[in-house]
Amino acid sequence: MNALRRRFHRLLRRQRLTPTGPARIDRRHVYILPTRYGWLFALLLVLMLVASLNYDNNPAYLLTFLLFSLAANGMYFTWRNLYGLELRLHSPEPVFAGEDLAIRLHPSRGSRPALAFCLAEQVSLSDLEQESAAVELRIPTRQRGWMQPGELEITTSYPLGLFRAWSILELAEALVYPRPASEAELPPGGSGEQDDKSSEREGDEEFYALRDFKPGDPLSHIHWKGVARERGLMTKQFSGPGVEEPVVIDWDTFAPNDAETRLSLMTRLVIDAEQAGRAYGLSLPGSEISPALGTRQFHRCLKTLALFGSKAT
Amino acid sequence: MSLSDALNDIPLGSRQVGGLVLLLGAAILPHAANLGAPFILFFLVTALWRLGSVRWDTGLPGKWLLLLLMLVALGLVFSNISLRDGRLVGTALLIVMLGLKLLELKSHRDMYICIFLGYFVVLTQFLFNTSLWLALYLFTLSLLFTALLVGVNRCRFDPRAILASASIQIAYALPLALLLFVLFPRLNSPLWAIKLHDDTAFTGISGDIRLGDIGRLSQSGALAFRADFDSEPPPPAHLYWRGPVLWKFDGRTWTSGEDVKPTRSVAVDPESQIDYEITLEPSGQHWVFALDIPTDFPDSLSLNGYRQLLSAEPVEKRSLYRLSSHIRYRLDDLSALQREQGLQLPPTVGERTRALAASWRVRHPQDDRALLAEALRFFNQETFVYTLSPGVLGDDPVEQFLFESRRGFCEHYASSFTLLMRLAGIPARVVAGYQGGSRNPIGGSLSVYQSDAHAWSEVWLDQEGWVRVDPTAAVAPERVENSIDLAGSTGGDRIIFDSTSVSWLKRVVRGGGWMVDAIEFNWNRWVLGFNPERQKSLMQRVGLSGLGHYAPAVVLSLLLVTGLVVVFVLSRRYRGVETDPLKRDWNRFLAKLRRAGLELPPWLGPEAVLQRAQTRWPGQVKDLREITRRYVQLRYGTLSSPAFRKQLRAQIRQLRIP
Repeated sequence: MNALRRRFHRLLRRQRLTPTGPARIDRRHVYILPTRYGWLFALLLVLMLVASLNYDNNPAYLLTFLLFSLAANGMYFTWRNLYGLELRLHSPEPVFAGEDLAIRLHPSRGSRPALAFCLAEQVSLSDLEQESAAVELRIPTRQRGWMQPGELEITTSYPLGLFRAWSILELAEALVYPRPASEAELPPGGSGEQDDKSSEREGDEEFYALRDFKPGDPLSHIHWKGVARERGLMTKQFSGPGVEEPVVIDWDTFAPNDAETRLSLMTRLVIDAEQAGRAYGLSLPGSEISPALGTRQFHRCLKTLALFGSKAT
Repeated sequence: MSLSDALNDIPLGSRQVGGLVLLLGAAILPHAANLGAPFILFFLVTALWRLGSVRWDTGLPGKWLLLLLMLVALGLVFSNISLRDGRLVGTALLIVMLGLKLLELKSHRDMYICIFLGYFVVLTQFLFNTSLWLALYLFTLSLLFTALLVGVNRCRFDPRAILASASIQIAYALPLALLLFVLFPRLNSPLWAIKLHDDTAFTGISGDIRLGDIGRLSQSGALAFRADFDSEPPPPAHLYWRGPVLWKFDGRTWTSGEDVKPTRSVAVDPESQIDYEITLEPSGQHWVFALDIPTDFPDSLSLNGYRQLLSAEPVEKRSLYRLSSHIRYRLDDLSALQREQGLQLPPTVGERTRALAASWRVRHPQDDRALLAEALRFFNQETFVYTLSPGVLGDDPVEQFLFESRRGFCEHYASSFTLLMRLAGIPARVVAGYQGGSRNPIGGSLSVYQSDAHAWSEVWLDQEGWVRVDPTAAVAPERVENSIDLAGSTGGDRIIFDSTSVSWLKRVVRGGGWMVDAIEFNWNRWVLGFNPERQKSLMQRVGLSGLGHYAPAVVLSLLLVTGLVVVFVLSRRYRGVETDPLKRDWNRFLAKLRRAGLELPPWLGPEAVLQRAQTRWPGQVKDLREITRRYVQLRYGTLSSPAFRKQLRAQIRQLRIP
């Protein structure tokens, strides 16, 4: 029975939902079937019809036919509760493996009571009203890399519960960063050398890294050449008093560990460096990232780590 | 995890459970009249238990207690209900089981089951009573059950929202329900044998008339039947609804004679044909009361030798018949048997009665007509009183009535008159039935009550056949012109008749009564009276009689298929209802631009739309820009005052594009 159900499920049409644009649940994407209460109601109607026929009772006929029409129309009302719904997917915030990935959906306005958003084992049930509401579903993550959140099923059996209408949406994949190690230290080789340099450069107004532009940065520090190359606004950072040396987090320095442990240690270092405000770069087999500081650098490094070894890189 | 599981996880609200218990109680309550108190009491106990557990969070019975309660319930059913009537057994079981179900109501699933059973309880009510008022009550309950079902399917229980939703759904369901009601094929016989009204007592005219019977009947305000005439009804004095024809008289009781086959067709004046429908209340008798001589009637009825209409089965539920009658006719058949029966005398006849009849015969040896007139003069000129309380009559009621008390009701007059005719050698018989009726000014139907019950005579005149003679009319002519005013007559001696000179308050009360009567009449006629014959005549009227018995089924299937096709076609074009009012206004604006010939793909944002529109119609730039700006402000800005929104709507409406 379950196998049959799965096979049936695979036959159904589904549409993709990506952060780039809304998906509209149109005629071709709404499915509707009676629920078990629908079948029970059908049985009730048969019994009522038999009683009406047998006692040839006109008010009983009237009630039976009224309930039949109610159920028949109910199919339409259930269908309409779902039909025409537009969904926008909020770009998911990348998370570290082990954390919950939050899928945030913005349904279009309109009164649609009792819509259920089912994703994996998660169900979020809400009465959509005129005000726009957001629906959030959380799914646990385990592995780094691109993650398929799976199929989102939007279901409703409003108003009478006799029919269930549903539509399937395939969610765009989300990025999961490697799980950061609880703590990691830079291997001694790299850091000692850099300490010397930092003392040497102290007081010198010398360029050492680029970071994202922040409002308030002096205009003279903007990396104009980068703007010309369409890299966006970057601010040149200069070493001065209290600024530490840039660090390059190197894959090779974590040699004895296996690949996942190394990635996890490196992730921790990236987080620490970003928090400490120290410029950092990455050195991985096949890819190098020169030292910099800022959100953009942070996510760039983490993405590289997340996708390390997968074909997508 | 599925949707139903998710809904199941929402705990049942106290308002849902409370609403269910109250609704079920309301649906079961009218069964008190059908099943007796113990069942209602049993349900009441379980319902209160449940309500108490909701209110004070006390416990519900455990498994063993439930089992015990179930045994009690079954004992209750089988000790109180006769197993012969399937309706009673089924209903009683349904009620006690519902009561028990309430005690273990936990999940949404149980709510569904209880609501479905609630609908069924409503249906069982109709099997016992089909009056309009109960039906209104029960259909209201059905609406509330539906609202509750909607409530179970919503996350928040919002009484106003679910009631609105249920009302809309019922309104949408009505057309299809009525269509099915009219066109669904009906069976002429039940699926299995059933016996209704086992030992119900009916009021109405029975086969035998004892002196005093009709007087007693006249004090009942119950409805006997309603009649609806195709054209203007005859004046009240001509409305004689013939029931049983009575021949045998034992001095106190009239009974019917030997049944005879109709011998000859009756000669009627074709001008005097009257077409009408009667809706007969259950009487438990075979008589169908028709005006004078019925000439056209449904196949389910038959005519006997005395031109009485009879139904094959006793009339045990409200039934509708379409009839034609002739009120000018000549009834010519007088067989030897009929002559013998028409002259039969009771074993003892008083001397004075005999002498009276003989004296008339002496005065009019040949002329029966004149003798008749003399007899009517006797009733008219002597001091007879027409009264509902004639007092107790002794051993020879007719003699005592004619010469001593002279107080009587119609059957006294009809009996004594008929007997006098027989004594004078004129064959005569008594006919029981109804006379007159109350015309409802709203809708024009005629309601005939038990208080309109009447008895009169028919006598045989050689030149004219059987002639109706109403001696009551000689005593109290107003009886055949007006109905008896029951409320006014009960206390006094003399009967008070309805007339126009009544107080305004009474007129208002009566007006309301007529209104109610008209509504009831239409319910009886169109809902209760709808039967295979009506269905057939409806099919004939739309010209589909050629399809015979299958016509309704064929029409129904055709309509349903057409409906489905229409729905399918419409659904392909249907883009859904835009529920956001602001978006609706904007769409109206876009539609206006499109109608003016501008091509606008659906994905364009407001700014892009403005761009295109203002290059096309540079003269309109100001208006277009204003509308777009306002829409953008309302949509994306913080501003959302209703007044601002109204302005936008007005601007869009006023926008004129050359």
